[in-house]
This record gives sequence, structure tokens and C-alpha cells, in this order.
Amino acid sequence: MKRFDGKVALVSNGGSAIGQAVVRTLAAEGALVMVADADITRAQTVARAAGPSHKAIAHDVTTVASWERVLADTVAAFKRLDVLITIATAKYDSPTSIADTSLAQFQGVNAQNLEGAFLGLRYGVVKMRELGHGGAVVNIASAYGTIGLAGQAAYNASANGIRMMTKAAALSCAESKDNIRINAVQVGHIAGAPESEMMPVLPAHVPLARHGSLDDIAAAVAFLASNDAAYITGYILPVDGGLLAA
Amino acid sequence: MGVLSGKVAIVTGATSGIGKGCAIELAKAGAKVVVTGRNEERGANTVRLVHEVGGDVTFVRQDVTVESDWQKLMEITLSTYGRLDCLLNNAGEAVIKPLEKLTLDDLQFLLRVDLDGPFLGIKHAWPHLKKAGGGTIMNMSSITGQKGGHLGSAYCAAKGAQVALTKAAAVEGAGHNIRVNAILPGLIWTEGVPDVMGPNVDEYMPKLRASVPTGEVGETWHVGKTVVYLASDAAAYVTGAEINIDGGKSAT
Repeated sequence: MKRFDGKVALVSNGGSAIGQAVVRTLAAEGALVMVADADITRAQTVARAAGPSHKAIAHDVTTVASWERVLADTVAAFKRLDVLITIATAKYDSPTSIADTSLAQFQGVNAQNLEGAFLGLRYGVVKMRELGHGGAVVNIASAYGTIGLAGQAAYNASANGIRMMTKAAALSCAESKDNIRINAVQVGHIAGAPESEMMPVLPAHVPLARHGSLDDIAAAVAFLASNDAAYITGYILPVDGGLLAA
Repeated sequence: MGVLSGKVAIVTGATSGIGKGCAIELAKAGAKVVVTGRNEERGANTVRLVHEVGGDVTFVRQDVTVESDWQKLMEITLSTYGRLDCLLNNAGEAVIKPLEKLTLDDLQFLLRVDLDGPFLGIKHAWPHLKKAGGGTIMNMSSITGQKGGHLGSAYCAAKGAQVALTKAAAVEGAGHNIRVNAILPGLIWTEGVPDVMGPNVDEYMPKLRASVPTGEVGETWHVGKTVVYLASDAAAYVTGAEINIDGGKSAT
């Protein structure tokens, strides 16, 4: 018996580097996966690579209509929705002093990262409640939602926003006793993921002194999304090689 | 073939409660388990429960505050299983009293068990984990290591110190591929709850449940599954973390 046998998962931004690893892991553990991505070709490639039962769908994380359609199509295709993984598209700009950051830049980063995750939570929770069988949401957040980075006010703000929104949403669901758990994985410097692209040189103060792997993130996501984490909600799990501890 | 097959884990304070539950889950995941505690009869009970899930287990009588007991524990573990991969510093004590009633003895008692114990464990496991090419240490702190708990001044101090110890050891262990994490359970039901809260379980349970956002009291296997994740290679990039298992309580 695998942890996700009989479960259906929707992975937003599933064509991204983190998305691919998450899709592969959830599928290998028995889930049927809907891979949603702005790039449908990329989504189809990832879905196919995970096996013949999985599907792909075009998705714009910034619009209500797209989230409603993706959620409805997932349930139409697979009859359930047990797991929702929101991967912020993790948009960041080149370092810009706060004095030079434009409102448009700030809003652009927050629309992709924070608003995208908000809409996923907002409409994902409603869909899970409709279905009535409970579920688990895991948001991908960043260690840079806890520690600051010079020149990344928008990214820092969006990443911390995802952390706090995760807690608030988890408490709402706990209060309604709807058996929906909401957690986040806070990623550090993962080879191939945005933080490592933003800072190609690993900061010297990362204790493990190496980049993490995409599979490290996928394993943490799978843990939180599974029944192994049945008593964990509103929690932000750092997968960061000790960055936040140092 | 479990995710911990071939690994050897020590669980202190495994004669009851969370430690017993963690020993069972570690064994189910394939680890060979050395369980410790002060009460041999209850130790034998844990051994029986681990055998029931098909595990390989050895009980060692140990007081975690006594350094020579740690030396003896390491000798027995190494001579029995040949290696050490994982240490779960679980043994702990709680004293819940108003500040004015707390004595220096209360605080020092808690620091001995909840801080000296894990410190000695880390110190004595360290050379063996280094020799094995790395390993994992987990310290069973509590949500009270992050947040003030009512009547818990001494307890919170000890559990908070455990979290700080965890982070420093994680930073130092990184160079040796030793990962060190703290586990922070919220309200978990064990046979020890009435010892702290009193015998009128039916009276206080509704209040306890109401203090948890999900309205649920956790079970020891919930903690055990997290321990298995942290002890496994799935958590290879997780170190120095505070892992909350609490039905949402730490989010408030």
C-alpha cells in the first residue's frame, strides 16, 4: 500500500523544476496527478513522463477563472481532489534597492507568487469542501520568507506572505473541522530552483555547504501531503540545509 | 524493505508514551532499535510491542542524566548491532506549577533531564555517527520550546534550551553529515498525561481538545511518522529545524 494510492493530486506550476520532482514523487507513490502549467507542452511532457494515467492542463495562476477551470477539470477527470500543491511561479527580479523598486515590479512579483498561492488556496479549499472528503494542501514557500535579502523586497514580501497565509488558511480549515490540512515547505538553496538561480553562488553560511536537490523538496512535500502528517497543519517545514538555524 | 533498513537507532525514554510510539514506527520502517529507560518492566513491554511489528530491539536500562549510563549504552549498541545511525533524545520530564511555587530544585531537575540528557546523548553519539559517515539526531522538545505555556516557566525554559542546543549542534554537525532536528509536539495523548494533568480525564479532555485548532488530540504514531521521515534520507537537506506536530497550535 503506497501513501497516495487512490488519491488525486493537482500540482500547479507542475512543469517547473520543483513541480516535475513533486509530480514524479506523488505519481510513484500512487497518486493520479493533474499537472497544471502556463506552458501546456511542458505540462504534457511532465505528465507523460510520470506515466500514462496522469493529465496536463494549461493554467494561469493569476486568474480566478483559470483556477476554477483547472479545479473543475481535475475533478471531472479523476472524480476527487485530495492533494493540492501550489508552487508559486517564484518570480523574482534582479536585485533592486528598495529606493529603486517600482510599484509595478513589486506588484508583478506578488501577483505571481503570493496572489497565485492565494487563489490556489481560496478555490482549492472550496473545491475540497464541496467534495467533502478532506484533503491536504502544500504551498511551496522560501527560506527568504523568513530572512531578508538586500534588493529583494518584493520576493521577501511575497515569500513571507505565503508563510503567513498558510497559517491563517490552516486555522480557518481547522476551525471548520473540514479535515483539510494546509502546510508549506520553505525551500533553501536547491539546485535548479529559483533561490539558486537568484544567487548562483551558495552563501557561505549554509551549514550543509551544498545545494539541496529537487527530490529533497519533493520528499518533504509528499510527507506533508500524506497521512503520515495527519496531525500537522499550519506548519512551515524548512528544507534548507540548516540555513534558518544558523 | 523499509526506508530505514540497515539503520540502528537509539530511543531514550522509550518505556512509555511518545518514545514507545516512536520506537514502534522506527522498527516498522526497518530500523534496529535500542530502547532505553529506567523501568525494566515497562522496557520489556516496549520490547514486546516492537517484536509484534516484526522489529529487532534491545532494551538497555539507562538514566539519561548519568554519563556512565551513556557510555554503557553506546558499548551495548555497538557490540549488539555494530553501528549507530540515529539517536532520538526523547526522555523528558515536566513540572507544571505557578512561578511562586516553582523551586530552584524544580528547574534544576528539569534541566538535568531535558537538557543535560540530550547534551550527553549528542556528545556520546557524536564519534559513532562521525565514524558511520554521518547520521541523524532528534531532540524531543515541545511546542513549549517556542511559546510560553501557562504555569510552565521551568518547563518552557528547559524545552527552549533544547531547541537552541539543537540548532548549534546542527550547525556543527553539518561538516560531519550529522543532521540534528528538534521535534515539537503539541498535545499528544499518552498514558503519562494523567500523571501531569490529574486523573479526571473526562473533565479536562474537552478543554484540552478545545485548545487545539483542529480540536483533536494527537497520537504517538503521529510523532513516530515524523521521526521516520527525519531519520531517513528523504530528509537529507533538513537540519536545525523545529518540526511542529500540533494540530495547528503553533500557527496561532
